Amino acid sequence: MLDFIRQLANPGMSFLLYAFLTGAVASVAFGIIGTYVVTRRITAIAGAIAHCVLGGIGIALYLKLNYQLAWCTPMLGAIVSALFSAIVIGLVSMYAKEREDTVIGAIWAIGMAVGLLFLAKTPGYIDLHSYLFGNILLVNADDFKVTLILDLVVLVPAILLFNNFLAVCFDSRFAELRGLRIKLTYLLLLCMTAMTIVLMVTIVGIIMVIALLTLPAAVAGYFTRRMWSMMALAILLSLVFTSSGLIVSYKWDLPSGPIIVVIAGGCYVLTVLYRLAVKRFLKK
Amino acid sequence: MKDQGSDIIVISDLSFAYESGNPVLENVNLNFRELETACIVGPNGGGKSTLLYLILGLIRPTGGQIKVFGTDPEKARMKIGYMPQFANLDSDFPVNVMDVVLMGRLSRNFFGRYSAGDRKLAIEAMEEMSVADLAQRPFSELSGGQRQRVLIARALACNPQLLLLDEPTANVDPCIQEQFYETMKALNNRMSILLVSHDLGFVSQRIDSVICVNRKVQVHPTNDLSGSMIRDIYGYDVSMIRHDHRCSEGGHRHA
Repeated sequence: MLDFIRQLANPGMSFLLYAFLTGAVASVAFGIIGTYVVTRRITAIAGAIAHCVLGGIGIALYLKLNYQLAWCTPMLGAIVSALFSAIVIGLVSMYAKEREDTVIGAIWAIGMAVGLLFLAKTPGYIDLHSYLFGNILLVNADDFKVTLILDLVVLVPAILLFNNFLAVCFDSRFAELRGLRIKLTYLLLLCMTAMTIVLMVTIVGIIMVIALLTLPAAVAGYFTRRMWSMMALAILLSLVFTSSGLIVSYKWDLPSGPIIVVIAGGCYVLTVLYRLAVKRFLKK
Repeated sequence: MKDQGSDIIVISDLSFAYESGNPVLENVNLNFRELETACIVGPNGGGKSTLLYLILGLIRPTGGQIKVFGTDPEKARMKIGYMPQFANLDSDFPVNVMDVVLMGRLSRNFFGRYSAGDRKLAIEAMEEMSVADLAQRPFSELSGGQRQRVLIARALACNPQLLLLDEPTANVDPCIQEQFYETMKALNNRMSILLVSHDLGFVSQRIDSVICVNRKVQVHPTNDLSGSMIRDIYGYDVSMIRHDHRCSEGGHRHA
């Protein structure tokens, strides 16, 4: 642990510092948006958006390397595709009379497939692995700046519109009757979720996004009774999960994404067991 | 009948059908007066909720007209305090009673911030429903009866002229129901109350008219009936109303 802190300060090990800072900054968005996702029960939508991100990354890399479009970065592709899929799912669930879970499943798979097809036709070596499973240790100074901006984009509306989001998540019909624009609020929430997912892809990768989005909030939900306190605890837990995962991954040379998810998952399972034990004990 | 007031809900020749084409409501004519209390009854699937949503402006009629407070239902919403069935809400949601009641003060402006005045109104509404001492309790830990009172308090926090209650007595034990009707009586002095219920045990004294909804709508005034007459006609535990007779739009009398 001490060794790790010493390494953080080592200028030769700046990647470690950036990884650590990225995890810390992103945790704020994870905790807040994760709480909305868990309480509003839109985990499946979050999963679909995450997998669509691969589509965006694939198209962006294809354009960048085949047509020498330097501005067409994977990050840009990820942001555009995440927003696009969030809006499509939101509109479909509001207006189309389709089964929502079927639409979510379709977008989930199509996004991923499109990404794989474009990547197959992209020349050169692509580190697909790091997109799928994340690698926080690859974060550089520029990535960190993007993380900061995305974090702010998510946080500002989340804090300013807290009461509106709370009302729409708890009882959207009542909120509508009080004159709130519930469809717009819901779409905004989905877009904020999309931005948070883009942040997460760098850290745990597309496949494991759902874990980092829901587990801290789920654990926090067991110990808190109000939205803001659930968010605060979820932020703290995200911070603990990402940084302890980083330490373990650095120390024992293990992939960071899976370690973070295993720590978060283990904590969740322990919480559930603890709750069961308490319930049993209290009944007797 | 307390018929001094003007009509706040006027429905004329209204019909409603979903896209599949099956009519849910047909030829509905209804007048609901200021400071009146009415109960909407009818079988499941008979169109009770549809009528409620039409009044709230959540759906639009396929034919005919509906005016609430003399205007489109959508524009009249802010004058209505709505209480949904609590079973439709997520019981695990992390909110306390104060959070819930404050939602009655939501409005479009100022990013949904609550002022000191909003908090004061919320507390008054909680006091009126005797839930002020629960203000800091999690909503998820309340009993069914308490949740209903909290949701009515939220509706009252809207400062409404019309209270719309969806199944306020469902899943609540009889002793609390009795309390509830007393509260309704007190509230009725300053606002109109329209409720949806399966339970008609209280028809005699507390409700001015019964609105029976089963694709068609019939209004049965209860003002001329005494409690004992109701018992004679329907038996003590009234849980249904007769639908086997026809009556004019203004209702009819049980001679």
